[in-house]
Amino acid sequence: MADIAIKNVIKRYGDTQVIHGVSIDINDGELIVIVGPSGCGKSTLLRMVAGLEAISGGEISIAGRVVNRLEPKDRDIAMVFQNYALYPHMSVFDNMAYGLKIAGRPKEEIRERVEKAAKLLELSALLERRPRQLSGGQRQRVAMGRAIVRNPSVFLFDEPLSNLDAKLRVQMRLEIRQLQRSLATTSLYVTHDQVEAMTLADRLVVMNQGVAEQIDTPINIYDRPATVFVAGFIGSPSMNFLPGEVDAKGEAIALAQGPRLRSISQKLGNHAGRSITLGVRPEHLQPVAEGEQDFHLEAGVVETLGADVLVHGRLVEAGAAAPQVEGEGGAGIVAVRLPGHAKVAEGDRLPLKAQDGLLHLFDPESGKRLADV
Amino acid sequence: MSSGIGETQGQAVPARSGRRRPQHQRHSLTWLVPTLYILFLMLPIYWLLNMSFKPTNEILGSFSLYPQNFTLDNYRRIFTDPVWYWGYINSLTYVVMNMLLSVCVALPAAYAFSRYRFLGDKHLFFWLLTNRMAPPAIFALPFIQLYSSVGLFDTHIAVALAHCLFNIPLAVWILEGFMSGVPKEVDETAYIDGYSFPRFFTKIFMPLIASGIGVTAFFCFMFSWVELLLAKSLTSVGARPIASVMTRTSSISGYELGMLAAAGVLTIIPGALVIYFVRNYIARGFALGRV
Repeated sequence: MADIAIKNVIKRYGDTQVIHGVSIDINDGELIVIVGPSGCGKSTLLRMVAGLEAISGGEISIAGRVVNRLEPKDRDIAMVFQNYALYPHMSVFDNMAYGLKIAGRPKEEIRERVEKAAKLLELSALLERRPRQLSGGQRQRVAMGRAIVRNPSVFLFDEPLSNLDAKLRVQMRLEIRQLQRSLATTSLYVTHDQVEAMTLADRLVVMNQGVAEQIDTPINIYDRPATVFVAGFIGSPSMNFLPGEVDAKGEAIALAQGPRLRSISQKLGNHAGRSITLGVRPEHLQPVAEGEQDFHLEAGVVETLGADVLVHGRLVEAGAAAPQVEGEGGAGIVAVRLPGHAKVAEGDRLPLKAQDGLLHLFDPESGKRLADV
Repeated sequence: MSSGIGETQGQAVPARSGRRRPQHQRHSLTWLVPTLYILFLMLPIYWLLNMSFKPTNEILGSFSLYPQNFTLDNYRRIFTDPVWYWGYINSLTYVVMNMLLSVCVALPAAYAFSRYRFLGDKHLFFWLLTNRMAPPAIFALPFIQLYSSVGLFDTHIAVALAHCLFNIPLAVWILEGFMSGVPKEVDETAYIDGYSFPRFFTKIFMPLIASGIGVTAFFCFMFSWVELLLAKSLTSVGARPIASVMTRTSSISGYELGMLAAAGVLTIIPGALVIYFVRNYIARGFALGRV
């Protein structure tokens, strides 16, 4: 049991700096998920905590002890890798027992601890098998078992579910969550999958280009993303971003694509006349009766998912012709999530209203959050 | 060829049987080509065996498909004459020495190439292979003088070391391929588990690439066993290899071809034995460990 303090940690490879001063305080027993696109430095950060990468600057301490210069084995951690890294020439039992054997524990104790972990992970019947005789999910469990038996003060997970198929991933996600809760071991979990991140995390660290953009609980991050990047990365489908301008009185937002949003209840006096990026999630655009709408959406691609319907289209002002396509590809495309069996066909014009209080204003220059509306 | 015959027959069969033809229509002549090929390959070996059981006079006198006067005399003389059997012992000694040396030196080198990035690693790695492109003969002269000056001339270790020049680069290449097939995370897990590096290397890593080590040893064996020129020029009496002994079969009674053939047969045996043990991995060895 331990807390982890990551203080202003920097990683450099030669002249290129890949992590630019990340600080995270992790409480005892917490499960922290680091999420971000590939190449954002999340795995590197985890490997620095593990001691597999040297720390170029800053300080990492585990349970109050600075570990910068400690070998991995002296940090009292266990790590689970994406490819499991089981020893293929050893049985499941030996794979799980080896760490303890190295530590010189008595045989009886090793057997006891391995069997206990195996029972917890439903591996008891497989202890004599070799890794290659196991399925992907079972191998994943063995890798977890190997981490558990050592009873470390910190678990590190490096995309442990990425090699599993979608269904198994959902199941293992729940198991990891339950296991972590029952063991109450401080854990750092790296993933690029934002659903995994949201469901597992006590707190979430969203990383982008070597910077921790936001550290908060999943729901806070969803509700109040600190930057455009975070807002776009968390939530699926992504938040819609619409360039626009707050009018002179700070009472309405004029979108660059034409329509004006008048339904905002909060005054934006501080930002009057300023150009902004308006962020609105697909689930926060409501279909309304003709006349009450903020704007129309001309439906393009319609995706029926069963539980809901995703409509991708372009904004048009009521009565106006569809605007010319600006930019390329997906630019200017707005996604809307409609409930259940909404009947929408390509070319339909849907009257939509942005839900008051669930909109986000960002500074178009810095990408920083300005206000909620 | 087999499919060619199959096609023609297939056209005669009514269309409904489609591409699946009954088995008995297939096998007609498919055995012919491989059989011919194997016969062709085996012929010289058979002839060597054939000759080894004949007295020299029969070899010189008549042409016979099998020994008319069957004799084991040639073999008996090889196993009783110290000059002959020491030839084998000498050869095996330096070959085994070379195998051990090459594998022991190449293991850490290959690990470094496989796991670490350092200045000029790719160039160095390629340069290793170019070592194999020089004919061994050009090194004979410098080796003779160098070894003479340090008193290594005519010793087993001299030949073993000389062969390292060619075998270590090869061993590094083969082993690097096998090692890169082991995910790096296995190393890292072991460090986190608390292994020291030597213990990890011997307890975890070497068992994982055991087949690679076997294949590497085999390739070292193969090159060292058949290499004649360096082995011959670096020895005189004390460490004389069998190939060198075989070149001196002329005696008062003329050439002893029977004995030469018997010695040849005995030379094939160790290679055949060694290849048996690595038969499942040999293809990967030829691909330098890369899959």
